[in-house]
Amino acid sequence: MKNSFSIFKYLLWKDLILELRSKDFIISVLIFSILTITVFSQAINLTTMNPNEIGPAILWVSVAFSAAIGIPKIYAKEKEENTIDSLLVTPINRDLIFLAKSTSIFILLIFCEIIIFSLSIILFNIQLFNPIIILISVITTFGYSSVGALLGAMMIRTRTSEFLLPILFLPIIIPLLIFAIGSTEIALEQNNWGESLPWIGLGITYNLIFFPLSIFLFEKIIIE
Amino acid sequence: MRKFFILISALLTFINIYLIFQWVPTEINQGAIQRILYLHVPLAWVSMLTIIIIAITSIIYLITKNIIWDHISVSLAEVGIVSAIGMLLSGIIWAKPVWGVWWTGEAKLTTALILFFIYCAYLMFRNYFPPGPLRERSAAVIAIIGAIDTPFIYYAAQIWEQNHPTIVIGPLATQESNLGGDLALTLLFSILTITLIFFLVVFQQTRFKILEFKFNQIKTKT
Repeated sequence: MKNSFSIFKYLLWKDLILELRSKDFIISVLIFSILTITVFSQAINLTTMNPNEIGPAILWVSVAFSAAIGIPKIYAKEKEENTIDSLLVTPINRDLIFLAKSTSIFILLIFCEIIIFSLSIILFNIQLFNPIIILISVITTFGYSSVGALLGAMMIRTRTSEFLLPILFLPIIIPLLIFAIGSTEIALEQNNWGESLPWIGLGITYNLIFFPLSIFLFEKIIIE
Repeated sequence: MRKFFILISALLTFINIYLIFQWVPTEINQGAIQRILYLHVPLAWVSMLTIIIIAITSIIYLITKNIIWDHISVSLAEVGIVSAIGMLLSGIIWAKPVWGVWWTGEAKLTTALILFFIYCAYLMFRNYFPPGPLRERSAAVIAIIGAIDTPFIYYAAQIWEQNHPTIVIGPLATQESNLGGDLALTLLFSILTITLIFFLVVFQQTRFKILEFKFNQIKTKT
């Protein structure tokens, strides 16, 4: 157990260090989501629309699209250097590789969301830093990272990952997207745990099913 | 045996066409446009059934590694996407005169549309990924997560609907469909006929894929 945790820590550290050196994921996610939010805020007349309704929709759609573009970058280094086969040859549990990838995607997405939330607060004049919305963000990002880590691994042996991953990723995370938008709207309008509970239940159930499923199916798709 | 099923399907189709256009009376509230439901509902049933069967055949493939199950899965997906397109188009044609809108955010419609995209994603993945056992395993994984995702989409869209009720303003929007004995019988017969045609087409498609696979194997050996 202690050995597994050390291996997981090392793999996570490796992914985060590689990302900190290249910054591919962070830059692509931030730039794309900031651009999307800016374009939407220009395209929509915010003075006549309720920002508590339109803001969450634009915010979470841009995060979803940006995640779909950013996730292939996490696996890009493995693809270029063919290091995934070296990792698979080592006598480590393959689940740890998945856990490290999904945790690194989670950490990096949360970091990007802090910046994206700050921009949304400025553009839409909505209060996003409250406990309910932070919980919504954690649940949504957790789901994105577990599904994204599985689908990203699937694309590692193809040259069309930037094109194929969004086509696979977006239909699968639709329930999470609906959950994030609906629950954020309610949290902004009412700031009430009771009203948000059905949504939070949906988000947690989705993660409880897809996270173990992704761990179980990861090995089937990573070994050639 | 195959010819027998083809003949049976053809016979049932002719009977079905007679029932839909001649025998069943016109529905009181919706009028003639209601007859499109005798195509729409069976296609919806078939496209929903297909994703469940694909998930089952994919699980069997992952366990047994027998390529025939993969051929069945991809044949199901190809027929499934056609029935999903038919379901969406027939639904849209029915909705405009009855609801006054082409589309609403209703849970069933959202689920149907996303199911179509899941089929697209499955087939596009198979098309772009290099052929081999890894492609088959990965496609099986996509089918399994797509099938598990579908009830979540429905439930999420349902909660969304409760918070954002849509207004349909068509002339027949508030009328309940009067599904009496004759209409119900015709609908059930249509479901039976289209399900049989569906399985027949999947069977034929699987046969072609197995023959193609054997041909390619012989070609690579020589």
